[in-house]
Amino acid sequence: MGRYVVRRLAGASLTLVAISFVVFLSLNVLPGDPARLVVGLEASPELYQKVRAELGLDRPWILRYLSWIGGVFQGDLGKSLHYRRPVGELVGSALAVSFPLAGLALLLALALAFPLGATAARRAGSAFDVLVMGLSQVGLAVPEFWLGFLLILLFSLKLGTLPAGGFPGWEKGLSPLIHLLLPAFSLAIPRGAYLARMVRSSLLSTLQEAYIAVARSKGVPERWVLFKHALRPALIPVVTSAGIVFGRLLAGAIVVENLFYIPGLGRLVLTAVLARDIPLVQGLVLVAAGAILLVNLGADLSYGLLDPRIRYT
Amino acid sequence: MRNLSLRIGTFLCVITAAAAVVGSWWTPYDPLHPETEAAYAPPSASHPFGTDWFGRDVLSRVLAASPVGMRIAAAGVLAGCAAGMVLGVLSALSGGLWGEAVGGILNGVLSFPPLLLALLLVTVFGPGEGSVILAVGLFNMPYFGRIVRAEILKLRDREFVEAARACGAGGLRITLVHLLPNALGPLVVQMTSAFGFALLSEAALSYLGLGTQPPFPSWGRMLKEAQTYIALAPWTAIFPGLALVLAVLGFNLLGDGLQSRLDPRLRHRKP
Repeated sequence: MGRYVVRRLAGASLTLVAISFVVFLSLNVLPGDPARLVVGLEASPELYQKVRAELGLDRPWILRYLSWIGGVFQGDLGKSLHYRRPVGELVGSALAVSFPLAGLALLLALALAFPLGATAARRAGSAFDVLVMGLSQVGLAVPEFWLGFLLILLFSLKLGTLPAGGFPGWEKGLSPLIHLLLPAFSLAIPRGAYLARMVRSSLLSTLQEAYIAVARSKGVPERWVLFKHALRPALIPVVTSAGIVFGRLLAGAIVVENLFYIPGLGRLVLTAVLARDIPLVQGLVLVAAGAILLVNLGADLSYGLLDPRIRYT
Repeated sequence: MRNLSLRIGTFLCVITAAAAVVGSWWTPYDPLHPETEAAYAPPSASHPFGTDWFGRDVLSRVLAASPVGMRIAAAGVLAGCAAGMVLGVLSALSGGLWGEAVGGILNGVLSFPPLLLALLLVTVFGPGEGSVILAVGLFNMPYFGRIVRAEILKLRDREFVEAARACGAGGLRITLVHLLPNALGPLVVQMTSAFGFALLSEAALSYLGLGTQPPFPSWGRMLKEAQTYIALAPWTAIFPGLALVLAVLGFNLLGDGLQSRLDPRLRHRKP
């Protein structure tokens, strides 16, 4: 197990280096002049020269890449051109909002997916099953920002019970969590629908296994068969998907964070892209990729807990 | 139940396609022309979806926006399918390091947040239709690649391939004529579902101001603009969103229905 983790971490680091190279190349080499990208076409020659020097463009790109990635290994992600602050600091404070938001959204999604998906699988073909699967299709089709819009309309404007946006920061204990409720819910509906379908199909195929038939023929009560024998191994694909969902949520809640004015990674990404803040975009993509790789590793490690037949070598 | 998906899906897709065809030729009012005296009118007989803050007819704008979204989604999905097929064939036929590398690229793209990928492309190529098509193509590529790869790996040792080889067919001919057509069913299913997601992505990018540019209406940007008038004219956001939901739902259901139709194992599976 220890060796497995070390090998996976080494693989993940290599992947990260590859990603950093591709991202650096596409932002700095492919389209031509990154300084022109940053300042725009109308900028004065002085400003252009200043930005060029700041980006270190007087050196060959391979040296620039090496000095950037060298800094990354020492925990220095560079400095944002737009905010004039270290990228690491900006990403850290955005992550402090995006991480709980993604967690809350995933929790809500799973809370929807499990009871609905499991019940639909147990009563496959019933009216309940058809209803849940139909609703999940609608959930998958609803764009997050439209859902968020409807939620604001209902809970903030009509009922006035929940804040429509903004985030006050973590200074006041856990009370700011209420600001994350509507955004988390808008994110949770489509993902919950996806995971509910996953729970149902995974559970259905597990229930066709021979050992389930053995358990049933021994006279094990159906509820016990479902929870004790079928659920744990059926969870494996669900955990994989939940991991991917969580990883994607961290830096992928771009639209919802913008709708609700949540100062998370998604909002930071959009600002960075619109301001053509190349160091910040680079840093954000690298952090997002690292987070995704870690979450996927965590999901893979949980398989051993779920299914005792799985061993890591 | 599966037949139900196919039926409802076909129905919604026909409506969506019809709206796109109508929208590119005719709309009840000029979707770009403001009539200030009619601003903020709620839905009524003369304006079934109401009017917006400039007095533009929302129904006309929803109709005019539909061919734009469909065109971008179709181009993106086709590009993704083509690229995925090439990569899938490459990774299936060239084993060893090459195959591993292509597989790695496909999986890497797959685990990345699609919108983040799209934003990266926008940074490089600038906002607009081309970037959105490229982004949609890129994050759809792995799905098509995996289907093609799996199908080829499954079939390449079968007798009919050996027979073709015995007749003197080369590797390329075997791949294109004998192997690839078998993947057609799953590819069509994937294209249908991918189309729904492509519509959603186009709307999301236009919502962020990075997709379809003004003055052309798009469902995503209509929602963005409506956000400011959320309390005064909620219908300006409700109807474009509803159109989007019905279109995406239609393609998702159609994909689902087609899948169970094309895969006999799914059709006869007793739950």
